[in-house]
Amino acid sequence: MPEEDSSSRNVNLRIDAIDTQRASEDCFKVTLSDGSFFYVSYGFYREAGLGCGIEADEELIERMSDETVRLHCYRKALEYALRQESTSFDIIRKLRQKQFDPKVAEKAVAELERKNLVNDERFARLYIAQCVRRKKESRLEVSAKLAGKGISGTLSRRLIAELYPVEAEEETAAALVGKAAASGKPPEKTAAALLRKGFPYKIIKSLLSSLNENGEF
Amino acid sequence: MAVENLGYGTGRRKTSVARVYLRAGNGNITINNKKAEEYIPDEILLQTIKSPLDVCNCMNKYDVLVNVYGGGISGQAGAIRHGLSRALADADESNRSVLGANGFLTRDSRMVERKKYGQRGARRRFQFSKR
Repeated sequence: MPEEDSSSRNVNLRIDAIDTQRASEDCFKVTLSDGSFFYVSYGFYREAGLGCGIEADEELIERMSDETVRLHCYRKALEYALRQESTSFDIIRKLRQKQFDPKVAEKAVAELERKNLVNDERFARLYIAQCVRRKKESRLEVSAKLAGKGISGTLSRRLIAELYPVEAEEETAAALVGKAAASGKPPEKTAAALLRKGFPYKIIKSLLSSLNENGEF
Repeated sequence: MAVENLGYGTGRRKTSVARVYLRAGNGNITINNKKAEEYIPDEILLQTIKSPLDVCNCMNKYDVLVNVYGGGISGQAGAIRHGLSRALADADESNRSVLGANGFLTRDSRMVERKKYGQRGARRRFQFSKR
């Protein structure tokens, strides 16, 4: 990070050293003659033609300063993306909480998306598959949770229709009703709980009536 | 007949340690003598494990053999990813730059925060009652 404001610098600053120790992380440290330093990417380093002894005018310093912020934001976004599978919305939200400029944050996440490290559709697919396996949530609840993670309604509807068909939702509801019946929960309470979870009334009614016929309630 | 290991890496995350061996194959992942899908039944964690292969474009190039112990399922998945990244870098040096640039070779140094005396946990205080 720059140590001082660029407006207070002398005009005749020069690049003193370029540290390429972190080249494997695509990050070079550029130190100026006044001791302040910046981090720039390899792409920027080549494009700006940086080298030891080159004069650093105000424009270059400002560009390096922007590049440092961009790199910092990108590295933070990468860290969040690697911690766990996330959506772009989630990562941008976290970056904004860390006081990054929204535009810089969006650019950083766009770069991650380009590298396929963040992919909303992949996240939604994995999330729905997990919900189907756990057999605890209704289609409506899954859709609401995806919306909370910033997945668009069109995408979530398409994926839910593909990965979580109505038959699977019926199975989930049946498993929950069976569990409630085994624990001796009154049918009215079971119905209310399932309704709160977002299961369609039609499914709940048919399940409870079939259990009533079998005398399980 | 001895099987040749094309790459080896040790990965760590929290208290989990994973030893990862790469062998010529077509993308099968075996963790503690079980299929990856059986050992880790969480799709999101499975994706975590496979991400280094994805980044290096060698999804179907290697068979992956893993021994992992310690910690929980999430820590183990993180350790496997770390070990797999190191093994891929070991197998082919050209993978190192892409893995490094994407942060896969970095050991996640976060560990559980210690409990403090005079408190119930690391941050949690004892319940306070005025009277």
